[in-house]
Amino acid sequence: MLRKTALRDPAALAALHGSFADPVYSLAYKILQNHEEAEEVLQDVFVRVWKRSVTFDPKKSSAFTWVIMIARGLSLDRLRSRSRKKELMESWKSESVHTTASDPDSSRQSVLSSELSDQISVALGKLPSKQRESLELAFYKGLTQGEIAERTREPLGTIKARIRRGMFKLRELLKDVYA
Amino acid sequence: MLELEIQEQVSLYVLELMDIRQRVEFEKVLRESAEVRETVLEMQIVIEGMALAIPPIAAPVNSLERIQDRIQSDSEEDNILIFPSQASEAHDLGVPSGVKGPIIKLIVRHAGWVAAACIAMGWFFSSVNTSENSQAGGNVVQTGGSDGESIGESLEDSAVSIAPMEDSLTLDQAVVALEMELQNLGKDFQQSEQNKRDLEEEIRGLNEDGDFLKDWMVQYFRDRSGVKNLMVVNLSDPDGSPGGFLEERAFSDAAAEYLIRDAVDQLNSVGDETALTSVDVGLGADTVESTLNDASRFNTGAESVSTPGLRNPQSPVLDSTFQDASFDDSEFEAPLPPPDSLVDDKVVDPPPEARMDAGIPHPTGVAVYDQNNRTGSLVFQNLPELLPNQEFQLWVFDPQFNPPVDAGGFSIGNQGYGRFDFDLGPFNIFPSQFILTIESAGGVSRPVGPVVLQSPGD
Repeated sequence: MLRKTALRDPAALAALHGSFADPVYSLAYKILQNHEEAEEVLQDVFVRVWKRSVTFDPKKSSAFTWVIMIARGLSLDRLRSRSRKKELMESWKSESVHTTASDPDSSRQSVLSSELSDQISVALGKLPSKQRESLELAFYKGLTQGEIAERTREPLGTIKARIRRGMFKLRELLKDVYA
Repeated sequence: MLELEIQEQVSLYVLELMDIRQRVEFEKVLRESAEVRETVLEMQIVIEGMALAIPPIAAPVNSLERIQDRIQSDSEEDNILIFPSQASEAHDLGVPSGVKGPIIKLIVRHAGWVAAACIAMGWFFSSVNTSENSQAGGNVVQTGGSDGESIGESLEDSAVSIAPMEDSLTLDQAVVALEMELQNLGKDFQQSEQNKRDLEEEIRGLNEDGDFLKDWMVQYFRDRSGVKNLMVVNLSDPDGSPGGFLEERAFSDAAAEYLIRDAVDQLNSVGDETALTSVDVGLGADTVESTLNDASRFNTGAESVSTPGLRNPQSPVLDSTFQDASFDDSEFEAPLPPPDSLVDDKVVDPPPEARMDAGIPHPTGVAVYDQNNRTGSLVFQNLPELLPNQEFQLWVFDPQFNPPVDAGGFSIGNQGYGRFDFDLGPFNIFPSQFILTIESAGGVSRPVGPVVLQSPGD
């Protein structure tokens, strides 16, 4: 689809949107906690995909990873530019993937990937809570290790180890899910 | 099993939490270790998992339509040409009043390397043929092969519209002109590193007769002077070891006169180290002109394109020969600084992380920018191979814009050479510098990755 998108095929873009729009929007909302901004990011992502799909190399990453990292980058850019970043960070403190990601508007729940999402959430839930917290702060908030250490009041070395262990353990857990 | 330290770096790399220095260092490891590369690829499953772990929220209804509308809108805006625009008047790059010193900055640290770079580009152009032509925000023409097909032919093959000649050049015409110029220069130059090295060595070892380079430069400027609103910039590996830059800014006829004289003066002033003599690949005086005047070469039935906007109506017409040219350089009061100071002033020392490994061919490139149409091309060779999740991203610096303008991204496999066409959209952008960086695939909002190519900055 990305190859066809690179050739300016509107149908390919539509197909790509059908496959990826929900997770892109969900991630943008997860990071930004704001529907309007999440939709703007969604648009930005697909406009960028439209313009940049020529650069996608399937040998180097999956299409989904490629799109998701664009979405994450654009979302974090927005987050960082917000004056209310600090406030959001504080609100994040008591949140977790499992309790905060649900949209209060239940009518907008996507059913397409909910089953897979549940399985992955279960896998993520198998991580020790501190590892999961460090990973979430890194991935969803784009915090550096130092910032995570400062935020959690843990030594930097501890955070480094948690992220490393969390990443490699999650890789193994997800292999089982996909298998 | 990877060492813990490497595992930690893999994690940070995949999460994009490394700063640029860490990234560059780690990418050296990636290049050397297949196991590490494999681990990085495997870790993408974690990225996907972190995204999919979020309870899914359906994207807003009609979001696709809104995206399509926006793409359509962007596309329409791209085609809007505003003549003349206030911005262009305010940024006349011809001979801006109050400018002290030349617009052109000819930076010669080792002029032999300038020639070598040009000849290398000739070698490149003489051997290109289009193997792939993709279209996105920019257009990458991947080139390869050695059958001698020219970019001009490639353009025709790829149905790129080339307008008939008028009194100034379209971008495509300029690219073809540049190609012909360089192709002629390097016509006997085959695509081989050994030949390239031999020729570079030959140039370095030439005697003190500087006619070849001087004549070539004069010809170069004279031909370019017909391009009223075009910018041609030689880009160089920021490592800087070749040390040669040649930059030509958009300029008026009057400025062109000055620039030619200035170029000759500089070339006459350089020391023995940079003096050159003729070689067997000299530029035929009429080659470019005859090429550009060959209407059949360019006539594809497209409407002619005029280039209003930045032209200086008061400029005298450039004479056919430099020696006969008359010009008034009263607007250029400041003497040209010595080449060394130009180097110091204009060439930014690259950050250590941007330096290329020894032994790897130095990246080179030429950026051509059409101020009127806000489109341009970057031709390049010897770009480093990208790692997973990377792309090249071209940035255009303009004091009006911060961060610099994203001119698009591309990846080129492992061939390292090709051409990237870019379109800067509806904004009037007046480039002061071009930079090519390596960034995360999909592009970033501001340049953070290592610099691969850069032009001299203002």
